[in-house]
Amino acid sequence: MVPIARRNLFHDKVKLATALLGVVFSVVLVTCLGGLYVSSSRNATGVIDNAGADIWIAARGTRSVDMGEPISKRRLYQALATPGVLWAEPLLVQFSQWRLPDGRQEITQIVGVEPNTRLNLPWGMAAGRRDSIRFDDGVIIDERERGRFGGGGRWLEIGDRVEIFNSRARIAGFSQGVGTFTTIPYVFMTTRQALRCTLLDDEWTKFILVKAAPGVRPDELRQRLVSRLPDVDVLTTAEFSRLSRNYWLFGTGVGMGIIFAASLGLVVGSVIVSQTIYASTLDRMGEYGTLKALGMSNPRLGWIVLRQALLIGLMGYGIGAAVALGLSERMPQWRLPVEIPPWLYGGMLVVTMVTCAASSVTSVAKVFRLPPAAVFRS
Amino acid sequence: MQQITETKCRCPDAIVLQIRGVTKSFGSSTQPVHVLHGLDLDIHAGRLTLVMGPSGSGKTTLLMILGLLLRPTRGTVHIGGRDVTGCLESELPAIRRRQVSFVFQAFNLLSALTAAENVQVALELQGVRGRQAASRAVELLDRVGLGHRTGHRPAELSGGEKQRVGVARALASPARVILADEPTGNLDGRTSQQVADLLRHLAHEERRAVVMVTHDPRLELLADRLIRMEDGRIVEDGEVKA
Repeated sequence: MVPIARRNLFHDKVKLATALLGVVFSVVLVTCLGGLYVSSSRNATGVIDNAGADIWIAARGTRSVDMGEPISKRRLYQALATPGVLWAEPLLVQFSQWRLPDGRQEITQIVGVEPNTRLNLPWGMAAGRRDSIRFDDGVIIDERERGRFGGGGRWLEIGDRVEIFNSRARIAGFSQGVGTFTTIPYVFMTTRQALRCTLLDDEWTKFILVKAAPGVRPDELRQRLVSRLPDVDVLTTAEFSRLSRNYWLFGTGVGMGIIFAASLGLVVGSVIVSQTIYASTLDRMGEYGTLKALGMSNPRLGWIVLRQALLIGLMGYGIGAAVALGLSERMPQWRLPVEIPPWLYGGMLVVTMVTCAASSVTSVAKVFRLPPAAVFRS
Repeated sequence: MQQITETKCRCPDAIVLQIRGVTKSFGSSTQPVHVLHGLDLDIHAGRLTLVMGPSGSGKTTLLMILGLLLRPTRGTVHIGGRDVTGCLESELPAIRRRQVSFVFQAFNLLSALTAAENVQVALELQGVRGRQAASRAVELLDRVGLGHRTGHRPAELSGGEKQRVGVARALASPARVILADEPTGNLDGRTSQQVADLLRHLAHEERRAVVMVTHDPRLELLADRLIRMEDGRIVEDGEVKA
């Protein structure tokens, strides 16, 4: 078969370039913003999803793991005394300040765990051991922060002495892929060390994490804990994760901002493709009329127009996805947490093709309505 | 010097296209503009029929009705012995594919395709596929003297060459009726003559019925039959004798 659609497309290279630009712009923008949404969503709940607990006990009205209010440690013992609890541990999450060697300060998010914690925190290690924080005031920070927190162009190394909220600490290891929604880095340490780096005293903690005994369902245990601890929030991990994600993404408007910008990118891209396909169809109306006069059916003519849109979509997607991939690898260096999972690339391909197909609807309709007699008037 | 016999054509060849009482009006029902007034016409295979007349006389409208591109307001159209007047709109493309082919004044070639591909598209519409279509397209171009220009796009061809591609495209169809709307209108005198000769040759050698609308009086010499129209009526219809 003569590839009329492809020939038409490549015949007018300026129009093709314009349409491709629109699709590439759209794909890059939507994919990167999608990646930002995915990683932001993951970071908003990283501690909750990875800690390994079934139940979270927090102060009333707590909406995020990063925004917890102090609760009495007595709640820990009450939780431990509840039937069906395998273990329970306090978790302290609190903003603090890290003093750089040059005297400047950076905000950090302290995460304090018990020295012999059963929690899976931090959940990824790039260097050092997770349990090394038990010894000698050790702290763990993400490897991406080594340059920023080393100060004066120097990278942090294991064993480096640092100062957090006027307390001395020692770098015991580097986590990997552990980030926060706000990009303020988590610094993992023992609870005792964490209390020194914050203004809290030993009687208080921020969260109590509970593991259900084998055979006990988390929601069933949650009900028992609610009846014993009426003045705090008791949430399953899934509930708290959802709450925290919704708070950061929608409560703060950040998520809606991302969704809005991505939608705008999609609209701009589809308008450009639509306009280009329409202009190209108008240019070739005489030719389509000729094909109609020669006996080409409407569906076949429509397929030629649709195929042009799909080819633009496919080529634009290919270029756009490659650019997005390249950008996503560089973006963490610019402190933009963009993580594009394979399903996002797949989803974007489907969205691109559907959008391009939809963009050609007006043009296809125009060709459908074209009377074959128009060929004598062209 | 040619002479027109003032009688309706009595050709021995088969009638391939026939219209009876064809009227065409445009505009609203309260203020219709009548373009054709009750035309009767038989088109025979193997003849080059010229339709002439001043602008606005209804020549192109007649051609569109003969080519099933326009429906008459009243009257019937028979093509290949079949009454197609009441056919559904969706049936017409298939009838057109098999029964009529066109040659246009403005050539109407697909600008993104080569000469061979333009012909190949018409062959593919007839169900010829792949290499067979490609080689047949080259054959047809060769027949119209364009075997050396198969890979050129319309923009790289002269007016005469473009029209010969248009004729080759018309030949891709098995249709016995070729309708040509001012096929020499955009060509110089010598090239016009060549294209008209080609169409006459097709009519005589391939027994096709060629209906050519033209303003060019020089082409009367080549015609087998001449129809003159005025104000939507046939005012003269007869054999042309050299």
